[in-house]
Amino acid sequence: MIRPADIRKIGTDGLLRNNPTFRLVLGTCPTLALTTAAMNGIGMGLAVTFVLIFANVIISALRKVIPNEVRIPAFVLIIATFVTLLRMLLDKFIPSLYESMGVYLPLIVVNCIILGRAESFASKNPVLNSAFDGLFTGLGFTWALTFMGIIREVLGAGQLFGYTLWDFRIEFFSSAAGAFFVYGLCIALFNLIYTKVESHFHKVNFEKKYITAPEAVQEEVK
Amino acid sequence: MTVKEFFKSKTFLCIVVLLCIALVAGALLSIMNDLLYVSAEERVARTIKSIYGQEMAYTVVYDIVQESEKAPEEQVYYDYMGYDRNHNAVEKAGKIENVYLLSDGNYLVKSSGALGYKQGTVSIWCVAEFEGKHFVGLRDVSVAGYDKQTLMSKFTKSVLSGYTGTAEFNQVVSGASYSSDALNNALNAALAYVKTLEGGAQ
Repeated sequence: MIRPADIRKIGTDGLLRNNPTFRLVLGTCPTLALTTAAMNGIGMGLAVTFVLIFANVIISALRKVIPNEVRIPAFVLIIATFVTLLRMLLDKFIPSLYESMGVYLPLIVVNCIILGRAESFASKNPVLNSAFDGLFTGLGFTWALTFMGIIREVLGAGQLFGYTLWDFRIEFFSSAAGAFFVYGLCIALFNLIYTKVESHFHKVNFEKKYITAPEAVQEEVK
Repeated sequence: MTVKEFFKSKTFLCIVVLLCIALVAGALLSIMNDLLYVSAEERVARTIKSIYGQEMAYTVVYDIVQESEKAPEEQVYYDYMGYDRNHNAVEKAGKIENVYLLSDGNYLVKSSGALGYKQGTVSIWCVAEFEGKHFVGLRDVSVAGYDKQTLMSKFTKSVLSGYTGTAEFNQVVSGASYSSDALNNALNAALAYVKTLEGGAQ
Protein backbone atom coordinates (compact mmCIF):
# COMPACT_ATOMS: atom_id res chain seq x y z
CA MET A 1 0.00 0.00 0.00
CA ILE A 2 1.33 3.42 -0.91
CA ARG A 3 1.33 6.18 1.76
CA PRO A 4 0.08 9.71 1.01
CA ALA A 5 3.53 11.05 1.94
CA ASP A 6 5.07 8.81 -0.75
CA ILE A 7 2.62 10.08 -3.35
CA ARG A 8 3.43 13.67 -2.32
CA LYS A 9 7.15 13.02 -2.66
CA ILE A 10 6.79 11.25 -6.01
CA GLY A 11 4.53 14.09 -7.18
CA THR A 12 6.89 16.93 -6.28
CA ASP A 13 9.82 14.97 -7.70
CA GLY A 14 8.14 14.42 -11.07
CA LEU A 15 6.54 17.82 -11.40
CA LEU A 16 9.23 20.07 -9.94
CA ARG A 17 12.32 18.76 -8.14
CA ASN A 18 13.30 16.26 -10.87
CA ASN A 19 11.28 17.77 -13.69
CA PRO A 20 12.50 15.83 -16.75
CA THR A 21 12.61 18.86 -19.04
CA PHE A 22 13.80 21.77 -16.92
CA ARG A 23 15.84 20.02 -14.22
CA LEU A 24 17.14 16.79 -15.80
CA VAL A 25 17.18 18.12 -19.40
CA LEU A 26 15.89 14.81 -20.76
CA GLY A 27 13.70 14.24 -23.82
CA THR A 28 15.26 17.27 -25.50
CA CYS A 29 14.61 16.12 -29.07
CA PRO A 30 10.77 16.21 -28.91
CA THR A 31 10.96 19.24 -26.61
CA LEU A 32 12.73 21.30 -29.26
CA ALA A 33 10.86 19.92 -32.23
CA LEU A 34 7.27 19.81 -31.01
CA THR A 35 6.87 22.99 -29.03
CA THR A 36 6.04 25.19 -32.01
CA ALA A 37 2.44 25.00 -30.79
CA ALA A 38 1.04 24.54 -27.30
CA MET A 39 -1.36 21.84 -28.48
CA ASN A 40 1.53 19.77 -29.85
CA GLY A 41 3.24 20.08 -26.46
CA ILE A 42 0.16 18.82 -24.64
CA GLY A 43 -0.25 15.98 -27.13
CA MET A 44 3.37 14.86 -26.89
CA GLY A 45 3.35 15.19 -23.09
CA LEU A 46 0.21 13.10 -22.69
CA ALA A 47 1.52 10.51 -25.14
CA VAL A 48 4.70 10.15 -23.08
CA THR A 49 2.61 10.04 -19.87
CA PHE A 50 0.55 7.16 -21.28
CA VAL A 51 3.65 5.16 -22.17
CA LEU A 52 5.38 6.04 -18.89
CA ILE A 53 2.49 4.84 -16.73
CA PHE A 54 1.94 1.53 -18.49
CA ALA A 55 5.62 0.76 -19.09
CA ASN A 56 6.41 1.53 -15.44
CA VAL A 57 3.59 -0.70 -14.22
CA ILE A 58 4.63 -3.68 -16.34
CA ILE A 59 8.35 -3.25 -15.66
CA SER A 60 7.67 -2.97 -11.94
CA ALA A 61 5.45 -6.06 -11.97
CA LEU A 62 8.14 -8.04 -13.81
CA ARG A 63 11.12 -6.61 -11.90
CA LYS A 64 11.80 -9.88 -10.06
CA VAL A 65 11.41 -11.97 -13.22
CA ILE A 66 13.57 -10.03 -15.66
CA PRO A 67 17.25 -11.04 -15.29
CA ASN A 68 19.59 -8.12 -14.72
CA GLU A 69 21.67 -9.02 -17.80
CA VAL A 70 18.78 -8.49 -20.26
CA ARG A 71 16.89 -5.77 -18.45
CA ILE A 72 17.55 -3.06 -21.07
CA PRO A 73 16.34 -5.11 -24.08
CA ALA A 74 13.35 -6.23 -22.00
CA PHE A 75 12.52 -2.62 -21.09
CA VAL A 76 12.83 -1.51 -24.70
CA LEU A 77 10.53 -4.36 -25.79
CA ILE A 78 7.90 -3.35 -23.24
CA ILE A 79 8.18 0.37 -24.03
CA ALA A 80 8.04 -0.32 -27.79
CA THR A 81 4.85 -2.34 -27.30
CA PHE A 82 3.09 0.55 -25.60
CA VAL A 83 4.38 3.09 -28.11
CA THR A 84 3.05 0.95 -30.97
CA LEU A 85 -0.26 0.62 -29.15
CA LEU A 86 -0.37 4.38 -28.65
CA ARG A 87 0.31 4.96 -32.35
CA MET A 88 -2.60 2.69 -33.27
CA LEU A 89 -4.92 4.47 -30.82
CA LEU A 90 -3.94 7.95 -32.01
CA ASP A 91 -4.18 7.00 -35.69
CA LYS A 92 -7.65 5.61 -35.08
CA PHE A 93 -9.13 8.21 -32.75
CA ILE A 94 -7.06 11.44 -32.98
CA PRO A 95 -5.59 11.39 -36.52
CA SER A 96 -4.79 15.12 -36.51
CA LEU A 97 -2.55 14.71 -33.46
CA TYR A 98 -1.06 11.54 -34.94
CA GLU A 99 -0.06 13.44 -38.07
CA SER A 100 1.24 16.49 -36.23
CA MET A 101 3.55 14.38 -34.05
CA GLY A 102 5.03 12.67 -37.08
CA VAL A 103 8.30 10.84 -36.55
CA TYR A 104 8.54 11.93 -32.90
CA LEU A 105 5.79 9.51 -31.91
CA PRO A 106 7.70 6.29 -32.71
CA LEU A 107 10.82 7.96 -31.29
CA ILE A 108 9.20 7.82 -27.83
CA VAL A 109 10.60 4.26 -27.73
CA VAL A 110 14.07 5.65 -27.19
CA ASN A 111 13.01 8.60 -25.06
CA CYS A 112 15.51 8.97 -22.21
CA ILE A 113 12.78 9.89 -19.73
CA ILE A 114 10.93 6.59 -20.14
CA LEU A 115 14.04 4.42 -20.17
CA GLY A 116 15.46 6.45 -17.28
CA ARG A 117 12.39 6.01 -15.07
CA ALA A 118 12.22 2.31 -15.93
CA GLU A 119 15.86 1.82 -14.97
CA SER A 120 16.03 4.07 -11.91
CA PHE A 121 12.55 3.71 -10.41
CA ALA A 122 10.18 1.10 -11.84
CA SER A 123 12.72 -1.74 -11.72
CA LYS A 124 13.28 -1.10 -7.99
CA ASN A 125 9.87 -0.09 -6.64
CA PRO A 126 6.37 -1.59 -6.22
CA VAL A 127 3.75 -1.36 -8.94
CA LEU A 128 1.60 1.40 -7.44
CA ASN A 129 4.56 3.65 -6.66
CA SER A 130 5.83 3.13 -10.22
CA ALA A 131 2.43 4.00 -11.66
CA PHE A 132 2.39 7.27 -9.71
CA ASP A 133 5.98 7.96 -10.73
CA GLY A 134 5.01 7.49 -14.38
CA LEU A 135 1.99 9.74 -13.96
CA PHE A 136 3.79 12.62 -12.26
CA THR A 137 6.94 12.44 -14.40
CA GLY A 138 4.71 12.46 -17.48
CA LEU A 139 2.71 15.41 -16.18
CA GLY A 140 5.95 17.23 -15.38
CA PHE A 141 7.03 16.70 -18.98
CA THR A 142 3.58 17.76 -20.24
CA TRP A 143 3.43 21.07 -18.38
CA ALA A 144 7.00 21.93 -19.37
CA LEU A 145 6.29 21.28 -23.06
CA THR A 146 3.00 23.16 -22.89
CA PHE A 147 4.68 26.15 -21.21
CA MET A 148 7.33 26.29 -23.92
CA GLY A 149 4.69 25.71 -26.60
CA ILE A 150 2.65 28.67 -25.36
CA ILE A 151 5.67 30.99 -25.45
CA ARG A 152 6.74 29.87 -28.93
CA GLU A 153 3.22 29.87 -30.38
CA VAL A 154 2.33 33.30 -29.02
CA LEU A 155 5.60 34.93 -30.10
CA GLY A 156 6.29 32.88 -33.22
CA ALA A 157 2.81 32.62 -34.72
CA GLY A 158 0.70 35.19 -32.85
CA GLN A 159 -1.63 32.39 -31.83
CA LEU A 160 -2.62 30.49 -28.71
CA PHE A 161 -3.98 26.95 -28.98
CA GLY A 162 -4.65 27.63 -32.66
CA TYR A 163 -6.62 30.84 -32.09
CA THR A 164 -5.14 33.96 -33.65
CA LEU A 165 -4.34 36.65 -31.08
CA TRP A 166 -2.73 39.27 -33.31
CA ASP A 167 -0.90 39.63 -36.64
CA PHE A 168 2.43 40.42 -35.01
CA ARG A 169 4.87 37.48 -34.98
CA ILE A 170 8.59 36.88 -34.70
CA GLU A 171 9.42 33.90 -36.91
CA PHE A 172 12.64 33.27 -34.99
CA PHE A 173 10.63 31.68 -32.19
CA SER A 174 9.14 29.13 -34.60
CA SER A 175 12.58 28.12 -35.85
CA ALA A 176 14.99 25.54 -34.40
CA ALA A 177 17.26 28.29 -33.08
CA GLY A 178 14.27 29.87 -31.37
CA ALA A 179 13.49 26.54 -29.72
CA PHE A 180 16.99 26.40 -28.19
CA PHE A 181 16.69 30.03 -27.10
CA VAL A 182 13.31 29.54 -25.41
CA TYR A 183 14.46 26.26 -23.88
CA GLY A 184 17.53 27.89 -22.35
CA LEU A 185 15.50 30.80 -20.98
CA CYS A 186 12.88 28.44 -19.52
CA ILE A 187 15.56 26.33 -17.79
CA ALA A 188 17.15 29.46 -16.34
CA LEU A 189 13.80 30.89 -15.21
CA PHE A 190 12.60 27.60 -13.72
CA ASN A 191 15.82 27.02 -11.80
CA LEU A 192 15.89 30.61 -10.56
CA ILE A 193 12.33 30.37 -9.20
CA TYR A 194 12.87 26.83 -7.92
CA THR A 195 16.05 27.77 -6.03
CA LYS A 196 14.39 30.84 -4.46
CA VAL A 197 11.28 28.90 -3.41
CA GLU A 198 13.36 26.02 -2.07
CA SER A 199 15.63 28.30 -0.03
CA HIS A 200 12.53 30.10 1.30
CA PHE A 201 11.03 26.82 2.47
CA HIS A 202 14.32 25.76 4.03
CA LYS A 203 14.40 29.06 5.92
CA VAL A 204 10.78 28.73 7.07
CA ASN A 205 11.33 25.13 8.16
CA PHE A 206 14.53 26.09 9.99
CA GLU A 207 12.76 28.93 11.81
CA LYS A 208 9.82 26.71 12.66
CA LYS A 209 12.11 24.01 13.99
CA TYR A 210 14.71 26.00 15.91
CA ILE A 211 13.74 29.66 16.40
CA THR A 212 10.01 29.59 17.15
CA ALA A 213 10.21 26.09 18.65
CA PRO A 214 9.31 25.48 22.31
CA GLU A 215 11.98 26.43 24.80
CA ALA A 216 12.76 22.82 25.53
CA VAL A 217 13.85 22.28 21.93
CA GLN A 218 15.88 25.51 21.94
CA GLU A 219 17.60 24.36 25.10
CA GLU A 220 18.37 21.08 23.43
CA VAL A 221 19.91 22.88 20.47
CA LYS A 222 22.08 24.98 22.76
CA MET B 1 28.37 -27.20 -20.87
CA THR B 2 25.93 -30.09 -21.14
CA VAL B 3 22.37 -29.72 -22.42
CA LYS B 4 21.04 -30.10 -18.89
CA GLU B 5 23.34 -27.36 -17.60
CA PHE B 6 22.28 -25.08 -20.44
CA PHE B 7 18.62 -25.41 -19.50
CA LYS B 8 19.49 -24.51 -15.91
CA SER B 9 21.76 -21.64 -16.89
CA LYS B 10 21.08 -17.89 -16.74
CA THR B 11 21.48 -17.68 -20.53
CA PHE B 12 18.47 -19.93 -21.02
CA LEU B 13 16.47 -17.90 -18.48
CA CYS B 14 17.32 -14.68 -20.31
CA ILE B 15 16.23 -16.15 -23.65
CA VAL B 16 12.97 -17.45 -22.17
CA VAL B 17 12.12 -14.13 -20.49
CA LEU B 18 12.79 -12.10 -23.64
CA LEU B 19 10.86 -14.58 -25.79
CA CYS B 20 7.90 -14.52 -23.41
CA ILE B 21 7.78 -10.72 -23.41
CA ALA B 22 8.07 -10.64 -27.21
CA LEU B 23 5.32 -13.25 -27.61
CA VAL B 24 2.88 -11.54 -25.25
CA ALA B 25 3.63 -8.14 -26.83
CA GLY B 26 3.19 -9.61 -30.31
CA ALA B 27 -0.13 -11.23 -29.40
CA LEU B 28 -1.42 -8.02 -27.78
CA LEU B 29 -0.41 -5.87 -30.74
CA SER B 30 -1.91 -8.33 -33.25
CA ILE B 31 -5.27 -8.16 -31.48
CA MET B 32 -5.13 -4.37 -31.14
CA ASN B 33 -4.09 -3.98 -34.78
CA ASP B 34 -7.14 -5.97 -35.79
CA LEU B 35 -9.37 -3.79 -33.62
CA LEU B 36 -7.84 -0.42 -34.51
CA TYR B 37 -7.01 -0.95 -38.19
CA VAL B 38 -7.67 2.15 -40.29
CA SER B 39 -8.69 1.18 -43.82
CA ALA B 40 -7.87 3.16 -46.95
CA GLU B 41 -11.59 4.03 -47.28
CA GLU B 42 -11.62 5.48 -43.76
CA ARG B 43 -8.57 7.59 -44.56
CA VAL B 44 -10.24 9.00 -47.66
CA ALA B 45 -13.40 9.69 -45.65
CA ARG B 46 -11.26 11.58 -43.11
CA THR B 47 -9.63 13.64 -45.83
CA ILE B 48 -13.00 14.53 -47.30
CA LYS B 49 -14.30 15.43 -43.85
CA SER B 50 -11.29 17.65 -43.13
CA ILE B 51 -11.84 19.52 -46.41
CA TYR B 52 -15.63 19.72 -46.40
CA GLY B 53 -16.24 19.72 -42.66
CA GLN B 54 -18.66 16.84 -43.11
CA GLU B 55 -18.68 13.29 -44.40
CA MET B 56 -19.59 12.85 -48.01
CA ALA B 57 -20.26 9.85 -50.24
CA TYR B 58 -17.68 9.27 -52.97
CA THR B 59 -16.72 6.93 -55.77
CA VAL B 60 -13.17 6.05 -56.70
CA VAL B 61 -12.34 7.34 -60.19
CA TYR B 62 -8.63 6.58 -60.22
CA ASP B 63 -6.20 4.93 -57.81
CA ILE B 64 -2.55 4.62 -58.81
CA VAL B 65 -2.02 1.65 -56.48
CA GLN B 66 -4.91 -0.29 -58.01
CA GLU B 67 -3.60 0.65 -61.44
CA SER B 68 -0.18 -0.79 -60.71
CA GLU B 69 -1.81 -4.11 -59.84
CA LYS B 70 -3.38 -4.44 -63.28
CA ALA B 71 -1.76 -6.18 -66.26
CA PRO B 72 0.92 -3.92 -67.86
CA GLU B 73 -1.09 -3.36 -71.05
CA GLU B 74 -4.13 -2.19 -69.04
CA GLN B 75 -2.30 0.24 -66.82
CA VAL B 76 -3.06 3.92 -67.26
CA TYR B 77 -0.94 6.66 -65.72
CA TYR B 78 -1.57 10.38 -65.82
CA ASP B 79 1.83 12.05 -65.90
CA TYR B 80 2.36 15.75 -66.32
CA MET B 81 5.19 17.01 -68.47
CA GLY B 82 6.94 20.05 -67.01
CA TYR B 83 10.23 21.88 -67.28
CA ASP B 84 13.20 22.05 -64.98
CA ARG B 85 15.10 25.24 -64.15
CA ASN B 86 17.24 24.90 -67.31
CA HIS B 87 14.06 24.74 -69.40
CA ASN B 88 14.61 21.07 -70.21
CA ALA B 89 11.42 19.07 -70.62
CA VAL B 90 10.81 16.57 -67.83
CA GLU B 91 8.29 13.89 -68.75
CA LYS B 92 7.22 12.97 -65.26
CA ALA B 93 7.24 16.30 -63.47
CA GLY B 94 3.90 15.49 -61.88
CA LYS B 95 1.48 12.61 -61.61
CA ILE B 96 -2.04 11.85 -60.48
CA GLU B 97 -2.28 9.46 -57.54
CA ASN B 98 -5.95 9.39 -56.56
CA VAL B 99 -9.16 10.85 -57.88
CA TYR B 100 -12.54 10.64 -56.15
CA LEU B 101 -15.88 11.85 -57.45
CA LEU B 102 -17.82 13.37 -54.57
CA SER B 103 -21.58 13.25 -54.25
CA ASP B 104 -21.82 17.05 -54.80
CA GLY B 105 -20.29 16.68 -58.27
CA ASN B 106 -16.81 17.95 -57.40
CA TYR B 107 -13.62 15.93 -57.63
CA LEU B 108 -11.07 15.34 -54.91
CA VAL B 109 -7.64 14.92 -56.50
CA LYS B 110 -4.35 13.83 -54.99
CA SER B 111 -1.35 14.57 -57.15
CA SER B 112 2.38 14.76 -56.63
CA GLY B 113 5.05 16.93 -58.16
CA ALA B 114 8.75 16.22 -58.70
CA LEU B 115 11.81 18.51 -59.06
CA GLY B 116 11.66 19.73 -55.50
CA TYR B 117 14.56 20.39 -53.17
CA LYS B 118 17.16 17.59 -53.48
CA GLN B 119 14.96 16.09 -56.24
CA GLY B 120 12.28 15.39 -53.66
CA THR B 121 8.54 15.44 -54.18
CA VAL B 122 5.51 17.25 -52.79
CA SER B 123 2.01 15.78 -52.93
CA ILE B 124 -1.19 17.76 -52.56
CA TRP B 125 -4.92 17.29 -52.10
CA CYS B 126 -7.20 19.64 -53.94
CA VAL B 127 -10.86 19.92 -54.77
CA ALA B 128 -11.75 20.53 -58.41
CA GLU B 129 -15.01 22.43 -58.39
CA PHE B 130 -17.48 21.80 -61.21
CA GLU B 131 -20.67 23.58 -62.13
CA GLY B 132 -22.48 21.02 -64.19
CA LYS B 133 -19.90 19.95 -66.76
CA HIS B 134 -17.90 23.12 -66.50
CA PHE B 135 -14.69 23.22 -64.47
CA VAL B 136 -14.77 26.32 -62.29
CA GLY B 137 -11.48 26.11 -60.45
CA LEU B 138 -9.53 24.55 -57.65
CA ARG B 139 -10.29 25.07 -54.01
CA ASP B 140 -8.99 23.79 -50.66
CA VAL B 141 -5.45 23.04 -51.75
CA SER B 142 -3.55 21.35 -48.92
CA VAL B 143 -0.23 19.57 -48.64
CA ALA B 144 -0.73 15.80 -48.35
CA GLY B 145 2.93 14.90 -47.89
CA TYR B 146 6.46 15.64 -48.98
CA ASP B 147 9.85 14.10 -49.31
CA LYS B 148 13.23 15.78 -48.57
CA GLN B 149 11.64 19.26 -48.40
CA THR B 150 12.96 21.06 -45.34
CA LEU B 151 11.10 24.34 -45.74
CA MET B 152 7.54 23.15 -46.12
CA SER B 153 6.51 25.34 -43.18
CA LYS B 154 6.75 28.24 -45.64
CA PHE B 155 3.59 26.93 -47.29
CA THR B 156 1.18 28.45 -44.85
CA LYS B 157 -2.56 28.53 -45.41
CA SER B 158 -2.32 32.02 -46.87
CA VAL B 159 0.33 30.88 -49.41
CA LEU B 160 -1.76 27.86 -50.39
CA SER B 161 -4.83 30.06 -50.74
CA GLY B 162 -3.02 31.58 -53.76
CA TYR B 163 -4.02 28.44 -55.67
CA THR B 164 -7.69 28.73 -54.79
CA GLY B 165 -9.98 29.52 -57.66
CA THR B 166 -7.31 28.57 -60.18
CA ALA B 167 -8.69 27.26 -63.44
CA GLU B 168 -5.53 27.93 -65.47
CA PHE B 169 -1.90 26.94 -65.00
CA ASN B 170 -0.18 29.29 -62.60
CA GLN B 171 2.88 29.61 -60.46
CA VAL B 172 2.86 30.36 -56.76
CA VAL B 173 6.24 30.85 -55.17
CA SER B 174 6.84 30.83 -51.45
CA GLY B 175 10.14 31.34 -49.61
CA ALA B 176 11.14 27.80 -50.59
CA SER B 177 11.64 28.00 -54.33
CA TYR B 178 12.53 24.35 -55.09
CA SER B 179 9.62 23.10 -53.00
CA SER B 180 7.45 25.65 -54.83
CA ASP B 181 8.52 24.05 -58.13
CA ALA B 182 7.42 20.63 -56.89
CA LEU B 183 4.15 22.01 -55.55
CA ASN B 184 3.47 23.84 -58.82
CA ASN B 185 4.12 20.63 -60.74
CA ALA B 186 1.68 18.76 -58.49
CA LEU B 187 -0.92 21.47 -58.95
CA ASN B 188 -0.44 21.61 -62.71
CA ALA B 189 -0.72 17.83 -62.93
CA ALA B 190 -4.05 18.07 -61.11
CA LEU B 191 -5.22 20.89 -63.41
CA ALA B 192 -4.18 19.01 -66.54
CA TYR B 193 -6.09 15.96 -65.40
CA VAL B 194 -9.20 17.86 -64.35
CA LYS B 195 -9.35 19.59 -67.72
CA THR B 196 -9.68 16.15 -69.37
CA LEU B 197 -12.82 15.59 -67.31
CA GLU B 198 -14.39 18.85 -68.37
CA GLY B 199 -17.32 18.59 -70.73
CA GLY B 200 -17.96 14.91 -70.48
CA ALA B 201 -17.29 13.73 -67.03
CA GLN B 202 -20.67 14.26 -65.44
